[in-house]
Amino acid sequence: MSVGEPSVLAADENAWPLLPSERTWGAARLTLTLATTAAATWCYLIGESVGSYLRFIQGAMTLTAGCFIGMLLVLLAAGPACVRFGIDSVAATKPQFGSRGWVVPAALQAISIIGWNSLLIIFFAKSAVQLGIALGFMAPGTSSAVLVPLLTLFACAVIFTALRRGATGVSLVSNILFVHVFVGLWMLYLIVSHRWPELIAARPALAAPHRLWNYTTGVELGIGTTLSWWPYIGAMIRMAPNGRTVVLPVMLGMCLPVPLLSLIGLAGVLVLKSSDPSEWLRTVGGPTYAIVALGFVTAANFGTTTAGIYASAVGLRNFRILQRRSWTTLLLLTIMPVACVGIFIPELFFAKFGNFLALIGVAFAPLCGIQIADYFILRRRRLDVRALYAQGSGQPYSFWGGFNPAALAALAAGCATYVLLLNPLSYRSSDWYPHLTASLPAAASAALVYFLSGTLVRRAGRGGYHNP
Amino acid sequence: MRRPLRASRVAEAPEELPPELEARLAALEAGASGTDFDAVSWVWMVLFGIVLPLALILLGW
Repeated sequence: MSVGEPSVLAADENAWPLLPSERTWGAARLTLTLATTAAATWCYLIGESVGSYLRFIQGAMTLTAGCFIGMLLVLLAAGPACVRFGIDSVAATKPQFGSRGWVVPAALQAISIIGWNSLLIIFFAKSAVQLGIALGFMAPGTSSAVLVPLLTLFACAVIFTALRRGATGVSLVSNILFVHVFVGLWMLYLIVSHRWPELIAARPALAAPHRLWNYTTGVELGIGTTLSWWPYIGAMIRMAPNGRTVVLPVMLGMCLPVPLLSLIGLAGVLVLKSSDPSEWLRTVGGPTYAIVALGFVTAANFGTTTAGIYASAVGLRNFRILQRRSWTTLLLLTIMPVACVGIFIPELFFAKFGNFLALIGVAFAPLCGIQIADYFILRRRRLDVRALYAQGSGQPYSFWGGFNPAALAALAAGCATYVLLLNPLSYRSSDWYPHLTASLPAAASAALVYFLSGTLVRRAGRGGYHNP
Repeated sequence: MRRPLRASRVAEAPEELPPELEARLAALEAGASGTDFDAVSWVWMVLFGIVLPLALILLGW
């Protein structure tokens, strides 16, 4: 079958499966795109969180370890279906959640991406204001109350224009902004080389008395961070032709930059009590460094927001009511909530974002456990690609009324396990948490419940488990 | 008795897919789908996802 360029664009925008001949992204292009997606200012906040509990070396080790563990979970969960059939993360959940039940992971994806993007777009606007002041375009002390909403609107318009080209727009932005990863590493070099003795001696402000608890929390924060890449990963790796092409780009491009850039926040909060380099680079290197840092922060936020909005818009196409809507409409639907948050409630959202994000993070570990158990154990790597798009009862993935109760029960069990081990809002934990983390048992319990209840579903002849 | 049966049959009939999607699914079913993880992929995943994290955790402690 010959599929021309317009056809590829249609498939890209409709969340239809891509054929191997259309999946032309090699390892280098994928690495570039994934790295740009992952490298944003959330890295500073992640580093700051770890630096609250651990010293520099311990924080660096545990965060890096946790990030790689979480990335493996995400890759094993969403990766196989996405790379085999060229589909996005949400479409890959239909064999587990059902032909209607996939709205549960789709809702998680939408809330998560909108939340992240709102944070980043506000960050973008704030850093752009600071950059304008540093460059002398605005007077010091200029109020951001009006400028932040205006810049948010401007950024949304630019992203909308770039993404009208589909994934090509994401790749284009990635090519331009990849350099900011190296700027981040340069900032890390600056603080490490200028303040090494202080950095090594610095003690975390909120460290718990229990050393193992702090250590495990460093790992847990790393796992949680890369688990939140689940919504993004499918839209990117579906552009690559096979599994081998995606593994190293995911591990080195999407995962590694996160702990590396988080070290900036980790070092900053330990030595200078601030994770934002645009604040401490002025102290370390003067106003020129501050301008470079602000330029970096602005560019990083912009790149990640673009990729996130693209992934979210592709995910919306799975909703039946939106299947016949234009790509422009989907983009508008995705950008509008982000723009509204950035324009109307930027400060309130900043204040409450930690709680919001903690609750979202609880769901992705069980989701990964469910997908891994389904694909590798229950289905033994067999999927029915037609069933992913078939509507109506009696279809392989329609289960009961389009919902798979096994997946819903497993998701609930996984979330409950997480909360019992570690309350994501208060950070109160059980005695088991320091030995187990919270994400890994949550994923394992969800996988176990899904396996047991999925076996019953299979015996009932539902779910397409008996199809060749 | 006939009416519920007919209703049931109608409900189970798969809906028609857009021609472009139909062509894509046919191509994938004919063997054009990609592959997931081969042996080399698993080696990298075990190295980066299990061995490296364990080593870092032990070194950092």
